[in-house]
Amino acid sequence: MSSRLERRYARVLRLYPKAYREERGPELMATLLEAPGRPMRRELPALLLGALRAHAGSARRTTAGSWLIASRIAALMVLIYSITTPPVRAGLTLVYGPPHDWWLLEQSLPEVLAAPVGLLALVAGTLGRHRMALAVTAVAFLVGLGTWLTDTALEAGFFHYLFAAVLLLPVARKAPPPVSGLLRYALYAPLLLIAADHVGDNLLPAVAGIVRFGAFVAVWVVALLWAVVDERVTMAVGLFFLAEALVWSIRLTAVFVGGTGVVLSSLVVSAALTALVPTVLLSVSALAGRRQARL
Amino acid sequence: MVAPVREPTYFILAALQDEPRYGYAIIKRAEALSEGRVTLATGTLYSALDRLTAEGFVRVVREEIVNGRARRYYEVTPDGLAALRVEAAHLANAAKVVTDRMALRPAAGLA
Repeated sequence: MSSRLERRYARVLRLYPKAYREERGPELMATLLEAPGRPMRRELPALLLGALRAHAGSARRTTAGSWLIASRIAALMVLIYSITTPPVRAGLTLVYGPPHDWWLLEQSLPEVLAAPVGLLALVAGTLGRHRMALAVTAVAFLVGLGTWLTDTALEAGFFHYLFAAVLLLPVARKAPPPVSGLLRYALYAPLLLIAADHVGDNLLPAVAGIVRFGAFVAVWVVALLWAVVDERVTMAVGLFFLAEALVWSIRLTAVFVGGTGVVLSSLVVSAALTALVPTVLLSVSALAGRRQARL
Repeated sequence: MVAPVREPTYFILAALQDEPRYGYAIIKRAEALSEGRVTLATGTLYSALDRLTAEGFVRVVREEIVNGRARRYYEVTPDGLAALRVEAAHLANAAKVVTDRMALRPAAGLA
């Protein structure tokens, strides 16, 4: 019985990082086996959560420190989203769309021109040169804005650079510690959304809407649940979606001001719905951050 | 300033107040001190010990092998003891707010 239980616990303990297992493994096992009357189902949730937190970095964090790291990750996520969208869109237009989809490329001209500058900002931000990243991100926004004002383009995606710059502001003043653990995988979320958004339209046209909505729901539900493990991921994804909601509002306003027949009430409802996801994510992560700050 | 302390952490520190204890002994002592309210799962205990060790509130004093199994004894540091006392005073003050008014209530009722 004991050896069978020991084998089952050993399998669970393998979920912890190797270094942690080497340091704590024998002691954890000894404590688990010393209470034979305790059912495994009672120990299992705490062990699984402990393993995930050990991977994510379970040290106590201050609330301000968590927000600072989340702000940096969110800025990088917004930059990744901004610089990846134009080439993906242009590539798909070239492969699938010409000539009838060229208008899409023309509309995206400000984003296309701002993307190389945004890439420089991303490199600087990834290397921890946050002040430089902030300055270059601001330049990327100005490049996009300059083109937008002199062109008939309707896309307002380059406004992402403005929000990336805002997110980089606190980071430029006080550098957060380097990203470690599972937090770095949050940077893949924008790529998933772009893939679902653009690639699905061409590769899986019949279910493109489901793919797009599914990816969006998957990212925000995982981010929401992840607040139990590492609230910084939830904060970062919440800030990312907040930037997206603000850009969406600008886009709708531009369409409304352009007089394309959009009703104001539908504009407000659309903006409110877009703002709902970041509101939930940021509220939950704020509560989780306060809990994590406790000893 | 000492950070607010969660209930399980409070009873872990309290369990180490008298003497150094190892994992399972801490669980049993915390359960006894809290009159059965805090029954720590092993994963919860070690997450808390990780945080407390990183903060310098708890340290390992010795290691033993008993029946072929590792046993690591922890003790509370002076900083940990100070944090425990601050939290205890905080809880006592919070309790006093209620108990003082409860003592006044019958008199108020007679008036």
